[in-house]
Amino acid sequence: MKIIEFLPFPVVILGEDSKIQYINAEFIKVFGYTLQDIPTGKEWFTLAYPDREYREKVISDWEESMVEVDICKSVIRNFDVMCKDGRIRNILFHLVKMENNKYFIISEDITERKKLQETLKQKLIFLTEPVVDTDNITFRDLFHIEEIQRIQDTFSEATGVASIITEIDGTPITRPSNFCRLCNDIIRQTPKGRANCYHSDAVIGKYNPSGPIVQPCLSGSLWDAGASIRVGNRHVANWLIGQVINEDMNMETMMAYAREIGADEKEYYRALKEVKRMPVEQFKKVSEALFLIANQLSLLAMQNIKQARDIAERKKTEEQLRMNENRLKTLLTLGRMQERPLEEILDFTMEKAVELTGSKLGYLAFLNEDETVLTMHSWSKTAMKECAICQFPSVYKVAETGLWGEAVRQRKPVITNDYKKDNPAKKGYPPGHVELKRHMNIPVFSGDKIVALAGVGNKGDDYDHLDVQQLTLLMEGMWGLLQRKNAGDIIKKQIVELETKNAELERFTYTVSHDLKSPLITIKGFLGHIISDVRKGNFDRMESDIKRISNAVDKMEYLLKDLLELSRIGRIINPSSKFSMSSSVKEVAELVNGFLEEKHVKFSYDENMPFVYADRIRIREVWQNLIENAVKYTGNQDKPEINIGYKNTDRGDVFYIKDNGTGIEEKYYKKIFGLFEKLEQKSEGTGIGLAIVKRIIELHGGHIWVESEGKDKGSTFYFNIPLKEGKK
Amino acid sequence: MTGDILTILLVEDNDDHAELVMRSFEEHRVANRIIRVSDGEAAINYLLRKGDFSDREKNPLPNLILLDLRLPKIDGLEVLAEIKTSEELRKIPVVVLTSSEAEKDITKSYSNYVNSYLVKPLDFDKFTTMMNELGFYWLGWNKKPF
Repeated sequence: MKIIEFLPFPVVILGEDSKIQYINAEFIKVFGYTLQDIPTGKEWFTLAYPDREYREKVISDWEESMVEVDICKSVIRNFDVMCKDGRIRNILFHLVKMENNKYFIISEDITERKKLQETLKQKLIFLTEPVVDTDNITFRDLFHIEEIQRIQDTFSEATGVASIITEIDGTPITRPSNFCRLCNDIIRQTPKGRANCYHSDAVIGKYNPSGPIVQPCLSGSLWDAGASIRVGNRHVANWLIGQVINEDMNMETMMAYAREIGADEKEYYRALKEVKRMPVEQFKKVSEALFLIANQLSLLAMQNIKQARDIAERKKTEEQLRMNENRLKTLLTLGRMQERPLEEILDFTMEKAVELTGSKLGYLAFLNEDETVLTMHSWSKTAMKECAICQFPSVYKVAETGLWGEAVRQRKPVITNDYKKDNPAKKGYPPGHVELKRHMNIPVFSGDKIVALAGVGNKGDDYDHLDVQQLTLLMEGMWGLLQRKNAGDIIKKQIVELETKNAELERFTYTVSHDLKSPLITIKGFLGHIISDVRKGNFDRMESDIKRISNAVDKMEYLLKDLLELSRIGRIINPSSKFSMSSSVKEVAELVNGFLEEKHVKFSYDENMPFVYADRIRIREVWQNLIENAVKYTGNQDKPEINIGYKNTDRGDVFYIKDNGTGIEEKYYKKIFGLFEKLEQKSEGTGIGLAIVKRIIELHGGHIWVESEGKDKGSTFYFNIPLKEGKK
Repeated sequence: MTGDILTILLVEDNDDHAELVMRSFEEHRVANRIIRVSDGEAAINYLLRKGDFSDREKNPLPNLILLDLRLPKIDGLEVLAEIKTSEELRKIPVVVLTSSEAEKDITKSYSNYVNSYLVKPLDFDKFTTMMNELGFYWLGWNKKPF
C-alpha cells in the first residue's frame, strides 16, 4: 500500500460491485476528485464524462474491458476525462486484475504526449508535402552520392559484409562495397543472374518499419539483409548488405543455381568457397545496425527537405518583397504620368500588370454605365504577338461572356488555375484565341460601380491571393491617375476653348470695326466735298456724291444686320428635327425662284437625298446662301447651271452644290469662308454669307469645303452633317 | 521735278475711297496721274506687267504706290512683301493708306519695309490736308528713285 501511495501515477483500486476502495494522492492531484466525490464507479463515470453520449460509450467499453482483463493480461484504454477543475485530460488507463477479484487501475496522463504526437504528425505531413511541382523526389535529389558511398564503404569494412544501395526496384545507385567474387564476377555477369539480383534487392530492401528484412538472397541463396530508406512515408531507396554463408547452407541447392543462370560450375564452386562465413547471430546484429543507420539516413533526408522547403519559403517571401517594391516603383512612375496620353498610360499599366504577376499576357476592358457591356481596350504586347485576331475595340455583352466575365457578375476577383478543365462557366477564352492555362481577373471599382476589368494569364505556376493583391493595387492606382488626368484634361480643354474664343473675338472686333469704319470715311469724306462744293456753288457732283453717302449708310445697315445674324447663329439654337434634305432644297428653290429665272439659271437637284437630323431653319439658310453665291458668281457663263445632290467622295458621304461659273483659284479656297471676304470687290453682298454657312455647318458637327478646277471652270461646295440623332 | 508727269499707283478696293483720293490729287498743284487697281492680284499683275498689263508703254512703273491693306484676293501686306522682295520693284516708295490703326498692321508693314504708313482720317478737312501734304512731300520734295 505504501508503495502505491507514493507512486507518481494516479492509482485506483476497485473492489467488487464497482466500489472504489482506494485512490492515491496522485489521483487526487491529477483529477481533483476525492473518495467522497466518487464512492463508486457510477459517480466517477458521471463526473469524468459529463457528455452523456460519450459516457455511455465509455461505460460500455469499460464493461468489455472487465471481461477481457485477466490475471496475466492487462487491458489499456484511452479516454478524455473531465477533471474537477474543468480541465480535460487525455488519460491512458491500465487495467490489471488482481487475485481477490479486485482491479488495479493505473492512469497515465498522456495529454501532452498526445499533443506532441499530433504536432509531430502535422510536421510529418508538412515535411512530406512536395516542395516542387513534381512528386518525383529521388534518392539522388536528397543525398550527395559520394558521401553515401563513403558511409556505405565504411560500414562494409567495419562489419565485414557486402553492401550496396539501390533504387526501390533494385537498380544500383552506389558502387558495390566488399562484394564477393561470386556475386560480382559470376552471378551478376549473367543476364539472368543480374536480373534476379536486382529483384532480390527490391524484395529484401522493401519497406518494413519494424526492422531489417533478413533472409537468403533470391539469387544464389547467400544471406542478405535489407533496410529501406524513406522520406516521411515515401520509400526512396534500399540498403542491402550480406553475401555471407552460415552453417545452414545447402551446397547442392546452391550449385543448382549455377546451372540455372548458366554460369561455369567449376568457377562457381571455387568462388562459393571464398564466400565469407558469418554466424547467424552476428549477422543479425549487423542487420540491426543497418536498420538503425538507414533510419538515421531517412531522418536526414527529411531534414534536407525541410531545409529546402525553408529556403523555398524564404525565396518566395523575398520574391514577394521584390514584387511589392516593384509595384511601389510602378505606382510612383504611374503617378507622374498624368500628362501622358491615355494610350500610353494604359499600355504601361498593362505591361506592369503582366510583369508583377509573373504572367505571360494581360488585357484591360472597360465597362459601361450600367455594367452590361464590356469594351475590350488593350492587350499586353506579348499577347498581341501571340494572338491572330486582335482588333480593338471589341464590344461584348457581359451576359454573353464566359469565364472571363465572372469577375463582373460575382463582383470579385476570379482565379482559374486549370483553365483547360471543363468548367460550366467557361464559354471560350477572352476573344483573341490565345491558349490559356491559367487565368485571373479582377473588377476595378470606382466607389460602388465596376468600371473596368483587368485580367492576366499563363503565369508559370498557380495564381494566388498575393497576385490578386498586386493587380488590385496597381489598377486602383491607375484608375486614380485617370480620374486626375481627366480632370486635368478637361480643364486644359476648357482653357484652349477659351483662348480660341478670345482670339476669335479679337479678330471679329478688328474686322467689324474696320469694315464699319470704311463707310464712315466715305460718308464724312463726301459730306465734306458737298459742303465745299455748295460753298463754291458747284452742283455737278452733288447728286452722285449724295448717292454715295446714301449707299454707304445702307452698307452699314447691312453690315450690322449680318453681324447680328452671325452672332445669333452662335446663341440661339433651334431644336433639331428629322427632315428630308430634298424637301429643304425644294423650299429654298421656291424662295429664290424669281432670282434664278432673272439670271436664266438652270437649276436641278436630287429628289432622293437622305433624311438629316438638324436645325431646319438654319439648313434652309445654308442652301439659300450657297445658291445665291452660285448665281452671283456665274461670271462669263452664258448657260449657267446649278446642281444639288448627295454623293460619296474620299471624304465620306457629302451634300454638294455645283455650278459652272467663274470658279475659284486654289489659293482662295480657305479665304472665301472668312468674315467679310469677297473675291469680287464689285459683287453684291457684305461677304458674310459663306462665313454664316460655315458657322452653321460646324455647329452641327460637320465640315464644309470647296473645290474648283480654276478660272471659269465652276466650283463645287461640299459639306456633311449628321444624318442621325446624337452624332454631334 | 520738271514737267514730268508723276505716276501714282493707287491700290484701293473701295470705290468711294478711291474717288476721295483721286479728287484730292486732281486739285493738286503737282502734276500727276493716278492709275487705280481694285485688288491685290491686279496690283501685282500691273507691277510685273502681266496679263492685262503687259504693255509697258501704256502701263509705266509708278513713282509712288498708295496701298490699302484690306484687299480682296491678295492681301495688301502680301502685295507689299512682293514689291519689297523684288529687285526691280523695291525701289518704288510704298505708302500704306488704310483705315486700320491696328498695331499689328503697323508692325507688319514696317517689317516688310514699307516707306510710310498713313491712316485715313474720318474728318474731311484732315483728309484733305493729309492728301495735300502727301502730294507735296512725295511728289514735290522727295527725289524720285528713277
